[in-house]
Amino acid sequence: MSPLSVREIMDRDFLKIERSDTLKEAASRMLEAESDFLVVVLDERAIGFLSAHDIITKSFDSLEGKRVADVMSKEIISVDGSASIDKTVNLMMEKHIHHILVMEGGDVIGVLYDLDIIKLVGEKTLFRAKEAREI
Amino acid sequence: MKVKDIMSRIVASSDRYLRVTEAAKFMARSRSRALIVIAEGVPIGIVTAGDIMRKVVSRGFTGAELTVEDIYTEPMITIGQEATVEEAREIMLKNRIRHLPVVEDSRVVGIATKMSLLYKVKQEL
Repeated sequence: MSPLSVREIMDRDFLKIERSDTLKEAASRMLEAESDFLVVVLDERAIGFLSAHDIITKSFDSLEGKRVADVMSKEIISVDGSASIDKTVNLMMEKHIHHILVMEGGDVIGVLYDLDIIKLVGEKTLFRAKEAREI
Repeated sequence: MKVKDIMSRIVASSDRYLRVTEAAKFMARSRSRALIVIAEGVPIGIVTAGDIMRKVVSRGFTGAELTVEDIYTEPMITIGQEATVEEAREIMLKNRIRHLPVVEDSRVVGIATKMSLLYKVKQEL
């Protein structure tokens, strides 16, 4: 098990969208930022998320005039900032998701993307962490 | 709208003997989650961020002890560039994949992703 926690590698600059915004605004924001994941907020509080997957699973013809609230995932799948990488990866695999909300005290403090973990593999940081634990 | 209208024409590829740590480094730097695996000039499969998450990290490997050959997915599910975007969408959803290589004459000429499909959605909203 890696001693790193999610808080240390998550992305704190995640993208947000209001639940009342149009789907067109959401799609534009995703494409501009090249990010397929937005945290949906209401009065600054996270109430769900919207991914490219959520949008494209709907029939294209049915999306005209729709708002974020109509299409978003309302189930908040999250981990605490102190969660281990291993536990978080297992949860992401189980839920078939590529990004997960990181919460503390009821607030979203960041988002962890699969690429944040892939980066650790590339840097061999997970490798060093495992070696350290074994010593 | 056809697949060729939305696909990305920049496709990263990898030798099958590339170490997984190097593949991961490339993905993280380029923010690209898929590499086409090439052997003797022919595309033989695909390795994605999902493969690294499922077959490396969640199984307790570090990546340093594995090569792309150990974890890539083959055969690839592909599509032709004259196919419609709707066909690409159906293939991605049915097979639960995010990356759909576009192949012509046994060559990978592009890749369609869920973000490519989002582009099409935005055009029509």
